[in-house]
Amino acid sequence: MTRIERATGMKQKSRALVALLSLGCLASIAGAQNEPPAAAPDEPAVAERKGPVLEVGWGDWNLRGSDTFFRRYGGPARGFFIKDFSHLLTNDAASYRASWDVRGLPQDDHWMNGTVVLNYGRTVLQGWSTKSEFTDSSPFTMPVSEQKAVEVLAKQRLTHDAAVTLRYSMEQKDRYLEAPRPERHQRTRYLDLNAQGAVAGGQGGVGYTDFRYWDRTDKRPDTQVQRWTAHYDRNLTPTIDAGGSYAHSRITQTGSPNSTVESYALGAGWQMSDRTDLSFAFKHDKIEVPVVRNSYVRERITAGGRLVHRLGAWTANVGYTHREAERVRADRSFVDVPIWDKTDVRLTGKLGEGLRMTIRGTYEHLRGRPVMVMADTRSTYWDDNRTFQAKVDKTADRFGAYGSVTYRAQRNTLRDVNIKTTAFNLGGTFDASSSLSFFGEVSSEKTDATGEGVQNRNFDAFFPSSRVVALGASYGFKPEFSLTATYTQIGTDNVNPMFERGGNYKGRFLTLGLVHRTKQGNEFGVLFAPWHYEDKTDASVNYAASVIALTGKVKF
Amino acid sequence: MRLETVVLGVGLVSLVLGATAQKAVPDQPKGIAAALFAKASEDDYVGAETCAGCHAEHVAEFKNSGHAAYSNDPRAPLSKRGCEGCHGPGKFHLDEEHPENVAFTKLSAKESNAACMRCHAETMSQSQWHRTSHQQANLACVSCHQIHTNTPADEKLAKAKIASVSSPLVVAKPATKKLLKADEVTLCSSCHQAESAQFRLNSHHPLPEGRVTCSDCHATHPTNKARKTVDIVKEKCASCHAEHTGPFVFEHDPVAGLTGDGCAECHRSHGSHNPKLLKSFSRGLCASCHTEKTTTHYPGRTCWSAGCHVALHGSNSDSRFLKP
Repeated sequence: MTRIERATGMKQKSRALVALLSLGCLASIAGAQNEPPAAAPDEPAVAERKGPVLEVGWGDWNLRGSDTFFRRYGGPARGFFIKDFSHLLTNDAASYRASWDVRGLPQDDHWMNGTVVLNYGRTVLQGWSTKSEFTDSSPFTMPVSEQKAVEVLAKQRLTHDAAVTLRYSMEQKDRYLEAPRPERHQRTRYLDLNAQGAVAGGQGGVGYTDFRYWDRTDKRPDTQVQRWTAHYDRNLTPTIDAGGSYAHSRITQTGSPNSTVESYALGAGWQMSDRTDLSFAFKHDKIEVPVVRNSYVRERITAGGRLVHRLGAWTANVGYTHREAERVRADRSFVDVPIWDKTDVRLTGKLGEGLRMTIRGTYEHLRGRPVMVMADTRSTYWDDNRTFQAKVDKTADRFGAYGSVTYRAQRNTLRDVNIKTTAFNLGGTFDASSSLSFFGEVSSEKTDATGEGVQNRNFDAFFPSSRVVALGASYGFKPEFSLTATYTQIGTDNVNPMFERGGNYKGRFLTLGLVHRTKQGNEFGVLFAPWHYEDKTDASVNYAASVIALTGKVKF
Repeated sequence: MRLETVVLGVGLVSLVLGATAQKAVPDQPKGIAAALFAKASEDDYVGAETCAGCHAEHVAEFKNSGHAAYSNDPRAPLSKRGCEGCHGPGKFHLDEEHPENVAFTKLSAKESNAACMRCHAETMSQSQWHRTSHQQANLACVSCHQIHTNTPADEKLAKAKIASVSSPLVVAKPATKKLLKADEVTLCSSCHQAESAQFRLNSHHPLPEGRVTCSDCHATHPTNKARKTVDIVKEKCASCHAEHTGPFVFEHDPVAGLTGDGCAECHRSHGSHNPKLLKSFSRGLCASCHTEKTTTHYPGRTCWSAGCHVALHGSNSDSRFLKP
């Protein structure tokens, strides 16, 4: 059977199901006419949840074009699926509770959770299992990649204020990538044991973490990271608090000498008055990585202070961070000490009733540029990093609006590179009535970049501009019916001198949903999503999908 | 490292002063809640049955809350049991001495948080919360958490869903966490709209598809780890991208995570209009640091996908990252 025949067959099945469910829908409407009036749409008559909830559905993609690009982050369900099967069990005294939640089965993509709480909450056991299928964003037919994870958490309260927690997770990732990149088959295991709680008038804790990475292709060494931690924090006086933490990590790799990282951190806060807070933070890392043969950082410190002052409806937040590293050169000839000084300021307050404004800015400057052990020894580090953001949001009874402008600038004076990016984000919601709401958002980003070595010093060919428009509406056109519509459009403007994939594209994604809810809390839903993606330089990744999903939800 | 010595000295002096302070106080919260509980005697606690006389609806829905088990524990002190464990002694309320008792929605964020922190020392202390940016933005625990019911409030937030970046097409996504007012994506993006909008971009972390969520990378509570963060040499990204973590025999400086912004030197963590979450397109990314390679060095396609520098994150065999 060809792909087109399969698609046609799916379409016929879709049509048959749509017809059947439309009939069901009409029957529901007819039945609803004889029922007493339901609650207003903004106060849905939801029955008290006592028994399990089961929501099942059927979906199809009706996909034309690139399967791999459509599924690059995962795909909607295709065929029969359980949207949600959940239940909460508890007794009158609430001395125990148990719950489960299953989503996605019997599809390949699924998420499951089970929780048991015993002994009045003193013992908690939780487990998760997830599986996701996706594909590398390639124009070629690729095997499906998958990621599976199992996670377990056990928590035991020792007293009302202290607990021991054990977390274990095992993740399996099998990825198939477009040539020349080789496929990856790897496992990561994470084991974390923590004890923390109220100790000697403060809060303290100790922890042990064991993180393991196995590469089943034997291209990378297996790695184990063991980490021991301890922290303690307490109020020294009613207005002064201080705390500290220590961590020791040992990294073991097959066929390499062990690496270690030793860190400690101190922090303190002083509530100078009801309106003014002052805090300090300091962190030191000592890094031994004998496996590394080129440049590496063997020591780094981060220290800073922050002053927060409130005046009426306004809050000013000023911080300074000093960061320095001892960087061993690749040829071991010298140790550079690059130092970053960063100042950040944030001012937040009310301009009027429901109208808030935030202005923030950061400036980071590099001193002590390192020398690169390359043909060109000039530093590749940014000398200056500047950001500025102004944000306004307004909330009122029937509408909310927000807008922000963000500016970022990076400069490397030695290499004469300047990158300046300006981004806008404007959006809002509007309730036209109690049953009709709208949403809209526009985002855009533009970068101006210049640098040596490029024709006319113009880097713009590699820094495309982009825009995103998102619209939404929600309409409860009858007490028991609600319709939602969302639309997103993305696109870029890019010179793209090499005509590369992913540089000039346009995407339009419309999603329509209709839900019918009965007085008993049961639901019936239809979802239709015509999605289009077009790459102007590589048509092999284009796709058009008309995803349809039908769902029914029952509360027992 | 002179600064280090000074700061370390100040820190040690603070700790010594703290340890020897005659009036060192336990890590107890301040505010109206602490004041009410401090002056209450056992007789001032009237029990949840009395509360149900007027607040039957709240008492009934609280039974399904995640808090119910803890507050019904007969071994817990009266001051941490039932409705009064959070709202204060009922007798004060009945006597109209403090008619509102601890009414969380009417308290300042600071006082409201202090009331919650009476019981959550196993998660963090008030002083740790005090130094977080959420606290500095004057947020209260109840800004994100709902206490009474276990049914996600996102049913009430249906209108907000049309603004959410979460894809309605994807089924296998995590359920709303207990005690949160809505699913994380909807909840976090109600304040962080600009960050949320980045997930609409063509290349993004699979948050709309439900494969990751905000708290996988961001730890909102200071002593609670983000679920997918492994805070080792290279912070944040190692848990999911361990293959790029190393340490490698030949490290790529920005990826080493010890200088600069680490992974964020080349990638934008939320989303980007460039493939692979990159900050700039094609070889422009490499050329913004390695300016000498811009036009003179193999003017072909992207440095890594042209088949040359295939091990850009670090290599164990080649100093120019030509092979893994």
